[in-house]
Amino acid sequence: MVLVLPTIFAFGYSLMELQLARVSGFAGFANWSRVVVVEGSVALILRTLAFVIGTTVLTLAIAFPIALWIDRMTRGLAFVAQIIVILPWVMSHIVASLLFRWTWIESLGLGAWLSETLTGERFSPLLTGTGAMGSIIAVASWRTLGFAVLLLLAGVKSLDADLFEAAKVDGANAFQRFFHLTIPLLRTPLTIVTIVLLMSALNNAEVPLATTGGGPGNATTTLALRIYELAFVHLDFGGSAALASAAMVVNVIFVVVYTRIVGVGEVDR
Amino acid sequence: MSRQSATQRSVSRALVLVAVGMLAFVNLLPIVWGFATSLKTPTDVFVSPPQMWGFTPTGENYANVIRGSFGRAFFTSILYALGTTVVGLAVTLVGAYALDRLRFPGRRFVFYAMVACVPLAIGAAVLVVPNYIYFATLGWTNKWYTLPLLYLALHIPLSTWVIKGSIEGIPTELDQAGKIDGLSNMGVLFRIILPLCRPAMFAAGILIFIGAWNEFLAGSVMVRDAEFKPVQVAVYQYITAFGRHWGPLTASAILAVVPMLLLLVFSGRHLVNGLMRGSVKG
Repeated sequence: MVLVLPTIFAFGYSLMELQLARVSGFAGFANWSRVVVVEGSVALILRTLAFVIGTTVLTLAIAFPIALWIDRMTRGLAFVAQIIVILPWVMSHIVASLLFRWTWIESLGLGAWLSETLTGERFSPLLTGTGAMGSIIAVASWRTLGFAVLLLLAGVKSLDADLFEAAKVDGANAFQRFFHLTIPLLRTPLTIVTIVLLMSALNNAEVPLATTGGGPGNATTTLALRIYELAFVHLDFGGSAALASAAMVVNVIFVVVYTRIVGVGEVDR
Repeated sequence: MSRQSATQRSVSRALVLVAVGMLAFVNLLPIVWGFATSLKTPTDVFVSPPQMWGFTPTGENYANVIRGSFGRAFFTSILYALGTTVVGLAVTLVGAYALDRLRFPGRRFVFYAMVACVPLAIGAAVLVVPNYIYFATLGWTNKWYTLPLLYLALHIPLSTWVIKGSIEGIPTELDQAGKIDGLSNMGVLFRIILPLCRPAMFAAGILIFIGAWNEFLAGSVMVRDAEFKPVQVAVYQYITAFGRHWGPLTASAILAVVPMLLLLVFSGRHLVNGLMRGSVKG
């Protein structure tokens, strides 16, 4: 009820005139035109895309090799590696952002000191838009990496080792085995992980909030953060609901794809 | 592997250890560095080059943080997380059992709705605005049950999925044997199914607990009174309140992460299994 109803309600609310959070009349598309047309939403969409795609690609690119590599470890070591890799994920977005920022990004932190000793240049990524965007991508990827590794590892473990042995006997090298066996056989888990990663980045308001506060300027104000700010900082609930229902459409598309992949063949088992 | 020489093997073993070490370094360093900072006086925090050790540790930051709003929020969140976990597991167990073993009208629909809600729950940031509006309309905001109710809704789908996966693996012959011995559906559930799916219950319970403990967005807007504020909101409020006073900030962050580290140390295996079970079984 808390999940499905709001999906429908958001669009309804976006058409209403809202005084704070109370419906006070019908507004038609006034909320929509205010936030979508007036606010320069192209820039907002581009920023959101940069964050969502950057985070997803970076996470997958690092998580996939780690998963394949943990799969080849001995049991004890594999367990230790799994625990280490999942560590940032058990922290909340807020705590992870805070600690990561203090260690690697902040000008008094270890990262800044390291880069100053090594290159002689001051390191202050939060002052430029690109640096700040890179920072929130780094924080989000760091936190979700372990989660992606475990999901992929579950898929990798289900692979049939004999098939790979056979390919090896037939003279397929490591690259050929990876691209012609591993990738196609892992298509389902890879798709699911990608959907989950895209969705969690799209809906991540906490990491930009706690790492950069959306700045400098609004360089790291992503769609999720904007929705949150509009409603709870600027008290524009109508505008926020309009943006939320737009984001919801994207979420629902992901959910439908996910449900088709995961649910098919399960229900009448 | 058998054709590799002994030196090759020891080299590759060393490489693996180095790589695990690097991973540990990247993932642990922020916690260790945050912990070191939380023990520093304001002057020590600004010393350059940064010191990992060699300063005189002080417990002052922790004392300040615990005396402030953080201590209360910490306690509130323990209650939220425990309550959500217990109620969530009870609901989930019955739900997963019904979904897997009983045939009832609308089962198909309920099943798909449950699967769809697993990823839908990721979209909590988008849901928080409409949820807020209609909770406010119903007068459900700023109550003791506001946040637990939301946390239950967010986590029941995934834990149902995890537990159902485990019930699937229990042969139905066992159910039938129980029924022949005169057990009702509930009897079968508690006497036969529950003991067999305990690992999955444990895994699902950990996922619910972590989720409830770490939730921030709803917690930051759905309740106003200090007594209902969860721990993550208290940490975030220090970010705005203390600005660059990293001593108390890191102290609160470290305290907020301690329960999660304990969970990871004592039941990491269940957590890992739960995540792997709940994810890619399609």
